[in-house]
Amino acid sequence: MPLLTVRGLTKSFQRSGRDAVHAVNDVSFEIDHGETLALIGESGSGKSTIGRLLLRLLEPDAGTIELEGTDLLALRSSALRAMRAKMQVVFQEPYESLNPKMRVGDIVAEPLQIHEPSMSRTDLRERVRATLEEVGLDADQAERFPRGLSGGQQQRVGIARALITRPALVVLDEPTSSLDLSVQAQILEILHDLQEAHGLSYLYISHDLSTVSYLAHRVAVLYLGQIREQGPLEAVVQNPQDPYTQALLAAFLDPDVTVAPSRSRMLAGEIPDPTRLPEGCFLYGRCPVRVDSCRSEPSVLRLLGPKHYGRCIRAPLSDEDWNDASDSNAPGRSS
Amino acid sequence: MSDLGKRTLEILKRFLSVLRSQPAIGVGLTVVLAMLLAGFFLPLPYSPTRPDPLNVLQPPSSLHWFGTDSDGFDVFSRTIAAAARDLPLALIGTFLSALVGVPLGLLASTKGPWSERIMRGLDVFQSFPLVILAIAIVTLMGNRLENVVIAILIVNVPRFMRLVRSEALSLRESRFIEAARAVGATPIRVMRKHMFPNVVGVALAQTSIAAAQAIGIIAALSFLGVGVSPPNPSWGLMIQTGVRSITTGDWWVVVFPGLAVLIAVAAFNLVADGLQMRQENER
Repeated sequence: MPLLTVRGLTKSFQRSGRDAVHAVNDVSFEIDHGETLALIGESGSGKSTIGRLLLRLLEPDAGTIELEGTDLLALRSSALRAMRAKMQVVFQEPYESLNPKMRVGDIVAEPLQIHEPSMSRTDLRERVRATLEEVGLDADQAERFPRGLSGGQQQRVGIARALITRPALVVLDEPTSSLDLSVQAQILEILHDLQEAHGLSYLYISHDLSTVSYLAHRVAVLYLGQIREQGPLEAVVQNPQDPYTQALLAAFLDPDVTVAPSRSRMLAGEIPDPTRLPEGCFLYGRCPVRVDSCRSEPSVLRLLGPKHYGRCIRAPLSDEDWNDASDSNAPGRSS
Repeated sequence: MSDLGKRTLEILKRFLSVLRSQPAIGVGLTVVLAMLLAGFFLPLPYSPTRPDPLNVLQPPSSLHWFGTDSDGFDVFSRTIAAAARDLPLALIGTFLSALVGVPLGLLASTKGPWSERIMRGLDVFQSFPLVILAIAIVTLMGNRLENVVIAILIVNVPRFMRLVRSEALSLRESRFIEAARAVGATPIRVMRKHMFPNVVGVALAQTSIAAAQAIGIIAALSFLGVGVSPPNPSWGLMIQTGVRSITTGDWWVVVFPGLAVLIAVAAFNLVADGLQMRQENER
């Protein structure tokens, strides 16, 4: 049984006087013990919302979330709080996620004070010290305030806070995107080592493919709050089957990620308005390789290879398909 | 025990560093403290509550430094003695307002229809001129010192609530509050450990402003004959007596208690300014 099972997760944000924003649309995935699933997508694709829904920091409109067989959505608030020892989060903004009036030691100790209130003060202090050292901080930094630390150190504090209750699942919401490149590498290495040491499962939310290929075992590509394609890292990155994934990878300039060298793999236009979802395939309005049936057939994830799923009904897509497309029916390019 | 000692020492150190960075706070606090000590302990040349009917409306002299009023009270003795009554009253009223208003403001920042309703109720309440409302209530409830404190509460509790609520509402959206929820903190714990320490600074600055206003409210109340009753000394009462004499050129009766009010208000405002500056520097 997987550690986490998510089925049909859906969330829209009602805004007074305006149309609701459909942020997450029928998203399903699983995460195994010790596994990292990367959620990638552009900003506005609903990645962070999914992270918050999983932790019930936001309430989903529909769907089920099971962690270690427990239905999270059925839990009442006190049982949910108890469950939080097992699921933790590291946020994108290291400084903003730390209370400026609390010392590092108190910030890291808080989850233990909540979940193991009977623990003695010496034990607590010892656990805080050990956890700080595990994320590469000195024990005497427990006395400092967050503002006195560098961005990388602040993020280590955030990681220490997430880890001290020994959770099973950690949601990493773009943990390195606001850090310098050199610091990014250190943080990723720590996350990787911690996973090995404790058998942690990660939901790694990112738009940065180079960090994804370092950390992830499996990848899910998100577009308009919907998973376009999902599968093992190699399959999705080396052999992407969805036009959106292909365009995303082609747009990414990194020598480490080898993609078929086709510069013509571009989508037309911008992400459509998430208040009105397109019928059929969400990509139809922007897709250069579309056919008429894209709009009429229901858009579902199909098995394309071992554990590899995608929505495009034309998959597998070849180079010829794209070349044909750039000559003829690319939407928006004729005008 | 040693832990407690360490904490007090730390608070003391922090206090000293605050004074060093914002000397205005130190100046204001020193003036208030000096006025309080003088009010309680300074030996007075004449009794502040027993008039000398043979020496009315004497101008300032070596015998009566600030002169005497139309009843023969020594203005100097009364101006000093009034500090022992007006200042503690203002401070108690203000601290009670903060004590009630800050937690209520935090509670009113939680999501829910009732918190909106409380704020709308407050709107209705605050649409009255509050000082006039306070005077009316004190008049109706009787001329007692406790009622002066209640008047200060009526004016200040809604202000504290509003201020703290608006700060708390923006805090609620911040990442570290979400992080606190994510580690399993109860709503009460979030308010106590995470929101309160982050609003206490603005609340403190507001406390000093409110104390300055409370001096004014007390003066206004006793000027109108509510609150401190004669022959007990109060700055407002003295100003009221003095106003009658000012047309005949006997300026000293009204000027000295007026100056005392001015100095007390300025001192509290200095503290408030210093605290506000510190808040802004910390951001």
